[in-house]
Amino acid sequence: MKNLLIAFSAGLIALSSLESCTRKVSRVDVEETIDLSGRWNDSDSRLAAKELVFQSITADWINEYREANGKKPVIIVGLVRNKTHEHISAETIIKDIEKEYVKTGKARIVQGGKMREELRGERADQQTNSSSSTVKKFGLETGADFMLQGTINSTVDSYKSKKVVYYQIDLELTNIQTNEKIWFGDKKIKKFVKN
Amino acid sequence: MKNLLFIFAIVLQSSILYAQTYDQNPNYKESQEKYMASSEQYTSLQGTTVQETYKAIDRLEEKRELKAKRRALRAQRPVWRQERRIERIKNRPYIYNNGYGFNLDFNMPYYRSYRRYNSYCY
Repeated sequence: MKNLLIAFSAGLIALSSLESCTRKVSRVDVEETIDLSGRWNDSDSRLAAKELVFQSITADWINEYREANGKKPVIIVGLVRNKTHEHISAETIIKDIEKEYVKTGKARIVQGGKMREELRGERADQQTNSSSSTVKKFGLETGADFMLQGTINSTVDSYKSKKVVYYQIDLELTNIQTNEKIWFGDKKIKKFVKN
Repeated sequence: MKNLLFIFAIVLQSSILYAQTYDQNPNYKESQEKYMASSEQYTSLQGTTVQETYKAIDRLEEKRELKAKRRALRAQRPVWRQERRIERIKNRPYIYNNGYGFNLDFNMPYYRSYRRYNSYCY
């Protein structure tokens, strides 16, 4: 009887310990804010994207350009420099802005960087492998009128277990021909972290 | 008539060219050549985020990093010990057999000083 009790309790302990090791994963809403470490996270990225998309779409320069030139502006995305103390990717924000420009039809976006190289590579491949009626020609790309560039900066102030982190995202649109900056967008986020 | 047309064409072309290059810096070619030679280096990273991060002064973060480093080193310790064991086995000192049933075992502790000064056998 005693042995049986010992075996039963040992089994119970083993089972409970096994259960505590099991990882639990659940799907949450993408809009839900979950702060774990206090570092830059998806909520910050989403907030910044929302604000910057709004600023870029409602800016006056687009209408002014269309009235003056009779066509939509063509934009290319340049570099975004992360000068903060954390690893931040601005691509999520930039992609949201690009999508909004195309969706609303306010501006045209041209491909740049590695993806453009890939396209040119494909075009080069077509020169020898595609039929004459479908082959795409070189030298007919749309030249961009404006370049979107940006920086992300941060300031950290910490004392004992408390920390204040300030992030500032600055985006700017520059006329490629004249170097004139025609639009600025910014988003500031301040966090207080207590450990 | 033919000459007149020719003159008109020249005037038209020159006016178009003038309009295109109006107010353009006459030395623009220097800059153009400079950037055309290395345009790829400026455009290859377009659309990406360049990480130019810095290390913030944060005592707690430093503590966490040190702890993680300590843990990583501690996790490596069994591996080092195993390697050390293998090396010791490889470099095991020989046991001298003098042929009279008396073996000189250099592994014995009282040969420590001998081993120290004659590292070739340890």
